[in-house]
Amino acid sequence: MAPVANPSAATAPTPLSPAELSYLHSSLSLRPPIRPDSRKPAQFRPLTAELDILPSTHGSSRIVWPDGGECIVGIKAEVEKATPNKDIRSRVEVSVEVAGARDDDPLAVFLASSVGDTLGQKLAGRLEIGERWHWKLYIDILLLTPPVSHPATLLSLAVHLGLRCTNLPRLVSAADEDPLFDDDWDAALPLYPSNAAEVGDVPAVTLLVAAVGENIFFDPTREEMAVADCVLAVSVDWDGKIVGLRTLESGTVSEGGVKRKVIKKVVEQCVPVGKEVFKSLEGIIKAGF
Amino acid sequence: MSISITRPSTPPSLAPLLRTSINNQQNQQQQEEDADGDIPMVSSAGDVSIVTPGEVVTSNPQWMRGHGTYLVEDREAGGMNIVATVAGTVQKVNKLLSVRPLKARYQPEIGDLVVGRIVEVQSKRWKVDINSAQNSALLLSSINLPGGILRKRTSTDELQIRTFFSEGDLLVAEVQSLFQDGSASLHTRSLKYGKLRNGYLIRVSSRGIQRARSQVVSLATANGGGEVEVVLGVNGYVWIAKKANTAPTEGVSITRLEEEASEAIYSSKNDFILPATRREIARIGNCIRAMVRCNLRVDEDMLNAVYEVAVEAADQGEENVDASLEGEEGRRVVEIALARKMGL
Amino acid sequence: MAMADRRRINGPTGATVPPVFLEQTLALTAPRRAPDELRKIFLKTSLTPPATGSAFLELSAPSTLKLTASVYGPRPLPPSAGFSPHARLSAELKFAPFSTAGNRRGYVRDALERDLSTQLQVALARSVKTATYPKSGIDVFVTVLDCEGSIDDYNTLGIMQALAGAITCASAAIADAGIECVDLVSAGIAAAVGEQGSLVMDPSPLDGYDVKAAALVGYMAGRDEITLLWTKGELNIEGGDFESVVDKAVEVATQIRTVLNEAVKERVLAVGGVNS
Repeated sequence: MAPVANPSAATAPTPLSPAELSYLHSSLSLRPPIRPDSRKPAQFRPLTAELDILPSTHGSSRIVWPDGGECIVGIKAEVEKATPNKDIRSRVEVSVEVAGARDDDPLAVFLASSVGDTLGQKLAGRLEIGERWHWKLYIDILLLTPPVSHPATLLSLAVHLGLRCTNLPRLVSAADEDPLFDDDWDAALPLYPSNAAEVGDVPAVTLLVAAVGENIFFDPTREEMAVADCVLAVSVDWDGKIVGLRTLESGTVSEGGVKRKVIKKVVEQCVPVGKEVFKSLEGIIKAGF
Repeated sequence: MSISITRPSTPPSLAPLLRTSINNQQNQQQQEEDADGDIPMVSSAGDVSIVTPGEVVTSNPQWMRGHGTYLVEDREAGGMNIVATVAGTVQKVNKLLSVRPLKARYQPEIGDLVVGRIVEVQSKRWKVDINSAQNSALLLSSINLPGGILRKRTSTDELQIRTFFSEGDLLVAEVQSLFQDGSASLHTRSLKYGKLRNGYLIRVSSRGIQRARSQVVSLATANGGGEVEVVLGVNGYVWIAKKANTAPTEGVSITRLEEEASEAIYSSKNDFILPATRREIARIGNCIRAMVRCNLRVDEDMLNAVYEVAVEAADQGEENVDASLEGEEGRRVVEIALARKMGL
Repeated sequence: MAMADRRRINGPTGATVPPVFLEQTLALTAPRRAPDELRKIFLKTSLTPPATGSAFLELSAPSTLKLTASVYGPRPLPPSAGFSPHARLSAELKFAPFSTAGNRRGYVRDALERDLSTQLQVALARSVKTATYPKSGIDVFVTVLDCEGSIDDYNTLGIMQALAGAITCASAAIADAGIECVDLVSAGIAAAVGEQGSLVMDPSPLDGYDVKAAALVGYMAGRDEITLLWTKGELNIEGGDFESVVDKAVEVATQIRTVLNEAVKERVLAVGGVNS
């Protein structure tokens, strides 16, 4: 895709003809709905993922969609002196680069802040080194191909996998000394221990959900988003708690907002679907080690 | 299962099956070449004549160079070499030698049936995206105006140009002529062409669509879906829609038909479409995508075969089958269809 | 000062005392509101004459939130934007350099402003009948003159309050501009605070609550529909935490809506009085 003059055009839905919009909208409003690719409402497109692909990082992952959407995450850690009264969330820095888009592209900004919100305090709490020092974690996300559909889910799964395979050097000094680390890479300790999933303390994931009428669709394509009444990015954690929710731009087929009961239905469905996603992620992580 | 995340594997490929069919063709070619007394054009890489840019295809002066090649003087042997400019397969038509690129944007040719989307409306013409390097043009004088084929274009038509086609609208057209820069000029001056509605567009690589006698395929679908029409645009845009009820019947005079159809011809409103039809339209779309993913060309026969297998698979598998035909399931369906068709 | 001896280092001419900021004490001494008590809102429209529509919003003391919204349009889209069958609504939210407590804020437009601008646009876009205005653009500009506390990513309530004020104020400005809309949008915030996660309506960062989770809604009371929902922090679904905090935020938005209605009506009455 050629770079576009209008930054938002990269994220704006392709202009669809009135006939297409009406066909999509009515297909998705049916009960049961018919998605243009016959997927079930809660079915995701198949993904392929790889862990630990970049040797120069502390943790990395790559995840690919069948339509060509591809995302690479590299995580690097640095030691930083603790500053009192500074919010601990500043220990995690997220940057997103979307291929073919400018740095200040609204999509990149949205993705970075949504990943930051999702990880929140819990991850920051893991980065302590004694009293006066802590790790500073840089999560750099590269969206290699201009996304055909909204990449929020893709990105959050890639970040999850990247963090799960992140290893930090082992501390050999005492807690109150200046930190000194074991330079044996094999002795490095995982940021998330291998039993993290059993304890239930793993990074949350963001699910993209579109609502058309009272029907709810997970992992919507761009066409489906273009006719949706509302699109929500819902971040759920292992325990089925909502850790963040945002509203995305949706189509212009209809006016008006969305009823409360639809939103309620969306978040309720996010819990079981989130469980499935975590199960799937666990599978790939287990296979990776 | 709502989500599947797998480790990367080799992309789905029908190599073993395709190899047999290619070998058959290859043997035929080989024999022809031997009869011609020509050097065998088989690259060292394998048994398929694939060349890379800069590779000498032949030095035999009997060949004329076509697309994807250029001529270089051979200093040592004297004479001229035909050298490839793209990576692709060598093709021979009579004495014309060309290299068809493995992957390239669609290049319009006169007579192609294409599906396009209006991207810009100008005063007397439209700019149409047809998935090629340049947007093509559709002149106001190249469309059927409502009210009969013989009507003259007026300034009123120019003023209400958006009532015919507006930005985003989809249409099926034929490439009428080519401009100097390779961009196409389209026309819709036939009842077969015009605005598209009652369906859904999918995009595949233009290489995935076979140029055939007829690009418009009519499928009698299963599960009460009725007739579905598939417009296989040579440019890789495929329109799948419910077949119009008012199919033109033989024997009606062409001018009368013209008048009757003109009312609906520029409508953007969909007819009533049964859920069953919508389901089958989605299935056909998945079949086409799966075929292209497996590097298979889509034509009427193949599409029918794959669709049949997909319907059977869905009937047998009930809940467990992945109806979207992404990944393994799509490959399996296409393989069965291919095997069945080749009588294996 | 001009008379000062330049060859020596002079002390200050007047005795100065290091500045003492009252921010914290102010918050502590202010009578704490009841958890279900909203702050009073001052909302007035048509205060920026050149704009098609405008509004100003201010919260009662001790809150310091002040912001203005102006709406330009519908006006023709630039030719480069291409054809659009419906109006394109763009929204921009900016913090004035002097808007934050403590340090001055530069003019650089950062990620936060972009993020809030996008959310503001999402909240408003579906309330406007954009199909009525083909080929046109409607531009909404909101300037935050003074906000509550610092503006950084970690002051969740401060940011949410600024956005909520912006939505309500911008909706008033859109109505003031006479642009057709299906309903007005008012925004409300509710938060779950403390260990028990008790609910607070319209919480301010100056209240000093220990916020566990917060929710902001953009709400069209006339249609009972939500245009924007933004939550931060952990919320249980099975226990109904999520639902109750969203419902509380909707309740806040519904109450704010009455102020919004009054402000819009006030202007119509004033102009109507002149004409008849």
